[in-house]
Amino acid sequence: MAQDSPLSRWAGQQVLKNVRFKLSLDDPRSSEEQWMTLQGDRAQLEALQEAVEDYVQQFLEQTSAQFSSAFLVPSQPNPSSPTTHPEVQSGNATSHLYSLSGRVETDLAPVNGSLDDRTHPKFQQRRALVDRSSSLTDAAQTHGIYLQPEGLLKHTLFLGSIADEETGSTLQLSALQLFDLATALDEYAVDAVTLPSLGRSGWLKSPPSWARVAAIAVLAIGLTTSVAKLLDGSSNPQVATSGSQGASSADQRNNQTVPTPSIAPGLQPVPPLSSAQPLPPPPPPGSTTPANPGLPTVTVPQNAPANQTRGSNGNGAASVERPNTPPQIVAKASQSRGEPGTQAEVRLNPEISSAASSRAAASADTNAAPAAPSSSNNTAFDTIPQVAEARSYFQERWQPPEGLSQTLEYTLVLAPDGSIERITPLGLASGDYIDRTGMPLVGEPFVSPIANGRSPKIRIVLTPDGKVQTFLEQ
Amino acid sequence: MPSTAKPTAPNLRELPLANQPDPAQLDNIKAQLDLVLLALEALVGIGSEAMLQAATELGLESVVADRVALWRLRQSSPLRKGQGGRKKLDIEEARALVLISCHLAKQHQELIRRAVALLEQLAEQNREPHQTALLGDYLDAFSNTYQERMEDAQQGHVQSLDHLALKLLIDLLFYSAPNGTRRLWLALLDRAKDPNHPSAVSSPH
Repeated sequence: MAQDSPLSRWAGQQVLKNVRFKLSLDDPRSSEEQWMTLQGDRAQLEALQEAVEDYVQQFLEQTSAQFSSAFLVPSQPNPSSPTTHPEVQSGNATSHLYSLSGRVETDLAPVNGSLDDRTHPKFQQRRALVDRSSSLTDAAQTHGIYLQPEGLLKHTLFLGSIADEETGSTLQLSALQLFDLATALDEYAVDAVTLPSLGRSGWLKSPPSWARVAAIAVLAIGLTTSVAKLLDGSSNPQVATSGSQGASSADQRNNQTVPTPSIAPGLQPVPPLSSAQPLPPPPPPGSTTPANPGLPTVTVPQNAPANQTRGSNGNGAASVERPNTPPQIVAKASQSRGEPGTQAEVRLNPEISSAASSRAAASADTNAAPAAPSSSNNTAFDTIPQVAEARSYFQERWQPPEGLSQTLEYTLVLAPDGSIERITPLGLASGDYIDRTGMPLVGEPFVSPIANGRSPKIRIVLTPDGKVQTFLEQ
Repeated sequence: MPSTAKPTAPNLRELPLANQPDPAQLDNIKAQLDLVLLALEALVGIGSEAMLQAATELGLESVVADRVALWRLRQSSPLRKGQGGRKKLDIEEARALVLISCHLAKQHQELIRRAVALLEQLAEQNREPHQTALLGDYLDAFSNTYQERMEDAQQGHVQSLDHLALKLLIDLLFYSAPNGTRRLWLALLDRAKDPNHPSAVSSPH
């Protein structure tokens, strides 16, 4: 098929150079302006990944340490001793529960006399727990990236070389956010291992303009069944009180398919992607299945937040600006019901300044319509917001006339103020049916003004089954 | 490191073992595995049927053949009452329990996630987890089952049990991830194996 050919040329020819990443931490609990974005180069990403995974491992090992101190060695000091545990001393049982450990604190103060002995294994263990932040891998140490716990449920990520003015030097993470972050980074690590680096090919000199989009490493995060339910979700966080949870927990246990409202308005399920394969062939057109439970999914959202509320139609856009803005991959962490957005939505945007974009674009696409022979994965080529705006414009208006079996295509030249400068129908049918498409007149307002005052060309593809695709031609 | 836990043939090579654990370490492994499964039981309400089902799905029937086999593996924990009987757990059996535990955690990830989210919310409000049914039931089930099964000498304080239960709950979240089996395995073996950790300290017992 024609739409496969440029992509199949790209497959197997991917070049990975100068990978950059952009990790967006979308916290549904806070407003969009407060969302943090971490960015850096490949080395920093790897350092971050190592630091996080290291820390997670330490965290998990503390159960064993804590347990053995509390249960396997009966001669441990009395927990109610005033010097033992500040929270216990204050009589606040709740904060004791939420502290990191009933016994093992992350400070160096000895608990009792026996622990003054530095050879005591307990002391050594605690020191090790503290020192773990310094016993990082070389990469993490070089970049100064590490984490420290604050009790059981909070973690501070020291950003080191990744820190910038926006993020500050540290980032507070909840347990769920840490989990989501670790999951996103782990998936990247898997992909980074499997993606090959190949040399440049001669034919990269003049790729089609829509393929000059920077390549992305496709990531996937395992999602649970709750993601599939996000379509039905409301955007209002649900405060979990004892009342709402009181409806028997047995039901909660047994009913794994309870719909989970999406906490953030922008969340939605996405089609599964074969991220583990190094160079997946472009998926057959029409492979736009909604997220299946348990399958890894990645959403590649468009720039314009408004578009995120759409269903699968609006999902596949890799918003990439030539030359350097990284496309965004939103790995939607699953949301649990009833909690006011305690899960961070983690978006990881590796940016690869090579031209082998269309492979990734193909696999990121969700909108490939079967009946569009000359268009390929449009949503991956939303290089400017106006492309997405144009798509939504037509999506609202396009109603295929009865008896139309052909796909209509138009090239629109946009004026810098966002109106249409010129309309060029492609093909006879496009010319015949133009007044049925809702096409605005030349000079009428259409999309938002163009950022750099240029006049981009946008291709509009309208299919007889009602689908709309748009992409930037130049 | 590639993700593990394909449903059919578990790749045991993905769970590395540099040295054979010493008896104390093995004790710890047995106890930990039993507790992870206990946490799953208490939270999700599953029993040995689900664990055996998981064993079948993972192709581990040769290691965990039936309820009796499963019980004996878990009974090997040094914490358990009834000191008679089999107390051994070999590495293959430990690996099997790791795979089963993470498989179950993954299956029930949504619930685990919900419970952790709820816990975070309560902590922020400085409220007791018992105030919610989900967490209250979990903590009750955990401590009741623990006290039923474990030797009196290992009882510990109820507060410590609650704390342990909550810690295990969060651990389960991490074990439900694609690389969960690797995480659990490494956590069991403690940190003595990783060459990147110069300050590796052996387990205190």
